[in-house]
Amino acid sequence: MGSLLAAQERMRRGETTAEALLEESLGQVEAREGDLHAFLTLLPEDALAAARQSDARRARGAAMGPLDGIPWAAKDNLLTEGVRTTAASRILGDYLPPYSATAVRRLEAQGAVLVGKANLDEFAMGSSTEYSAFGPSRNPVDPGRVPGGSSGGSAVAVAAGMCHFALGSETGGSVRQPAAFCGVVGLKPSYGRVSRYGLIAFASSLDQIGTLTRDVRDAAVVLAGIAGEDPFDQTSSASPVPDYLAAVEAGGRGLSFGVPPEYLAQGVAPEVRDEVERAAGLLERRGLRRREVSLPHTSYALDAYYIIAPAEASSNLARFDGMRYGPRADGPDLVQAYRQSRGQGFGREVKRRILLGTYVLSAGYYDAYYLQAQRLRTVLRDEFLRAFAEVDVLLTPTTPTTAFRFGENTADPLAMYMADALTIPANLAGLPAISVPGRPAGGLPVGLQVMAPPLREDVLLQAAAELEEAVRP
Amino acid sequence: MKGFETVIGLEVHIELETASKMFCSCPNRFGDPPNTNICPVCLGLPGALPRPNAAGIDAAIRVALALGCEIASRSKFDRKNYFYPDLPKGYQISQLDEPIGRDGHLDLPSGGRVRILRVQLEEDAGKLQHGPEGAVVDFNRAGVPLLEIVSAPDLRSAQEARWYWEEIRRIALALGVTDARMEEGSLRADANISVREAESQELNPRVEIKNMNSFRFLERALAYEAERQSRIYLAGGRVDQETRGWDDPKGESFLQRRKEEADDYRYFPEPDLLPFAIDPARVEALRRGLPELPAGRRDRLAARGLGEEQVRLVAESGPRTAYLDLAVQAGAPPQEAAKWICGDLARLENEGAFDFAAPRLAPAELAELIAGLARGALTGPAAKRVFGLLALEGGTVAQAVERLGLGRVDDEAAILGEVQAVLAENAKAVLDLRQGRQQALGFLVGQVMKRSRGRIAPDAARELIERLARG
Repeated sequence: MGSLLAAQERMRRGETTAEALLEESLGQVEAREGDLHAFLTLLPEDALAAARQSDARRARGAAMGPLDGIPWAAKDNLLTEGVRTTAASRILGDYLPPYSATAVRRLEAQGAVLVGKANLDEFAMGSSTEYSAFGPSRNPVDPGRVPGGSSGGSAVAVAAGMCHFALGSETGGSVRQPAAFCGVVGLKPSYGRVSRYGLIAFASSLDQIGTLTRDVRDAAVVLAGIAGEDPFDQTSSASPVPDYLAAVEAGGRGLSFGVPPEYLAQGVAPEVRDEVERAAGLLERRGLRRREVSLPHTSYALDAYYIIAPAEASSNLARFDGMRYGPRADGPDLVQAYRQSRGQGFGREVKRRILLGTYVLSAGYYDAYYLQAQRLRTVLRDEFLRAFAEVDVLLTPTTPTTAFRFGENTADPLAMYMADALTIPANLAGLPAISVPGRPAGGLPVGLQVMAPPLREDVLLQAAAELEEAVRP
Repeated sequence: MKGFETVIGLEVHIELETASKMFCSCPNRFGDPPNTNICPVCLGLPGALPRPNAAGIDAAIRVALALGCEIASRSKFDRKNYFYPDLPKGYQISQLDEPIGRDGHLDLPSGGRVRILRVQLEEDAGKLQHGPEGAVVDFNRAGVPLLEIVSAPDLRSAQEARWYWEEIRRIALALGVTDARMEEGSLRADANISVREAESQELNPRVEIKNMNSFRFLERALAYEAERQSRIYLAGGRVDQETRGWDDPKGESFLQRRKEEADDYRYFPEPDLLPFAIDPARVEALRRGLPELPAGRRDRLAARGLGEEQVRLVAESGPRTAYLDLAVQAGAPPQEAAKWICGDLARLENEGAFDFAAPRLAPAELAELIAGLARGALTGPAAKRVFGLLALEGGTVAQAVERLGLGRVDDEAAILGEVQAVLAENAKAVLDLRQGRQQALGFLVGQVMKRSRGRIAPDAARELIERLARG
């Protein structure tokens, strides 16, 4: 299964149909879903109807665009009207949303064919899908290893050919990290570039919907399909959406880049570091200029993230109280009813983060933790902007290591959190960032990360396309 | 209680009467069937995001301006986190440290000044109701814009606190930002009260009385509480910081919860809403558009020579004041117009039979009626009848006089005929009068009025009766 643009071209030439593409996808699901568990809900009938409508449009010359008839998967924290949406949590185990997320609506309006709802860590809190209340997904490259997370199911579905692209969501690397682990392209747009309306919130000031695709050009196409201002999300950006595909076509030959040494420091596996250095050399050979840049506050990013994200999560998840929807456990009084419903509904990692967040927002601690973390966020952002005055983009590893084994990090939350150490800074600063597969190490995919200034997805995609071309064997 | 001073601060909540709710486009309407004006946003469904209503922000700015506040050039919303079944998101969107308005004031009739610390915008919660099947929640009210006006502890008595709250209501009504219907809960107040020895500057632990929705209950509760606390101190005891409720039938406050159980609301900036700038030009435009406020009305009416009670009753409402202004413009003496407005017209208004904002009796016709009385063209009783007709059906004084046949009878022979007829029919009364019973005179005058349908001036009738009866 190739890129979505290639599939679209074949449909245009009449060599295939949306229905046939869907059959291929569902064939892969049938062959591998039992081992990989990418999906929480499959929608073969709805998808077939949508594919046939797409073919009918094409037959009468009314095909809508590059996404028309393309099978895709949505992370199961993106609301889909009338289709069970769980966030991989028991507390939403049978939740049927009355409306669809803006990003989902936009893709549906462009004729994309939704195959199913992809697995994730509960409420997107995790880096491996091991915290899904409905069991983990497995890495298609090595099913003994995690696919990464939290958008693990989305990455698996794309990597295993179960669909052409998927939407995931990021708060601290949840698209890029599983993309790196599974060997696909994962794009996190700038904060505000894609509407969050209908994305079940984890940490509102960090959350952003992202794409998982087979190549950079597909990422440009899908981003173009979901980006842009939304009156239903006040934090969505009003800035115009550039022609991303044109940017990719233009290439990145004239660009400059830097490799901040802080992203190659301790904790980064030697084979990962080597691949970044190799990629940097290849880019230089293609005419991109490399300059020295430094981001000395990088090591504080993880600390700030684990204050801000849980703080916002503790508030965002307060609505899951069993009162209006979701299972309600009865108790002798109101407080007990809350405790029982939430105690039974949430998993351990979610509870851990709610506790953390409740603590750091408590009276007397707010200034020392939350406010300080927000200040650090400003420092980080300013530091990035200074670096971008020197270079167009930054090149770093996406993750410190390749995909780890099941259970390797579940006993030690801090070790698990380290998996996001190199992706979190872009979320804190609101930057667009992308993970592009490099040369595998020890048979496992290695992710190369590119970061660009806020709202410069065009520059990001130019550089990423160049990188993709450079590292291709 | 002698030797003690009462210290009261009030937090007044006003539901703003915007077309839609504060953070979604659901109608902001009271009285619809439960849970009909709801959507994913005000129900707090997963994935839903708030979007601010500019009309709510404008209304907040106008109230803050009317209270003499400084308007923030930059403001933001914060989350106040707590669990309750009527609070759909588990937090209320409110304002913590950058409210719309701060540092305002309200002047008391006593000449004192109440500082207003802050005017902030927030959202109302749903309405929890206990029914036969247990507790149920109506979310129609969830997300309705709510203004909180926080005073400094500058109020010194229960009466003052009541006046302050009533004045805020009058201001809000003058601004047209609320219907201020107490019974619908669109105006509520929390009071903080403590007492201290007179002359002291210390503040003692305060008791909070929450969620009052009646001026009278507030005044009674505060008066009770001032006395309760004074007694405790006199007896050498200690007042604890706590929340108390008011049981009006019993006339007592009762403990609801102690300070140690106080919530930690874990405030933090609302990340779903951007901080916002308030353009000074917009503030100036809103300031220029402010109507005359109740204090200004009162000053103006007093300057027109109205008595204290008349000033109070007319200035109470904008439409009454405007009505009076128009009647005066049409030539009515202000005090005479005020008599009608505070008397018969106010009574009809209370009965729902008259609307000062859309009056059937036009102010100019009231002026005409008053003029007719003054120049003697209408007798007092005839004027009442003309008034009654015009107030209910409209039209001009001339038309009503014509229709009722009420032109005053001035012809002496005609008056004599009527009076003689009355005396002839009431021989007993005439006898009484001759024997010096003055009340018989009133009766006979009344009979003449009745017979002539008010067309004969009572004074003329009285004079003639006395002359003829005593003859």
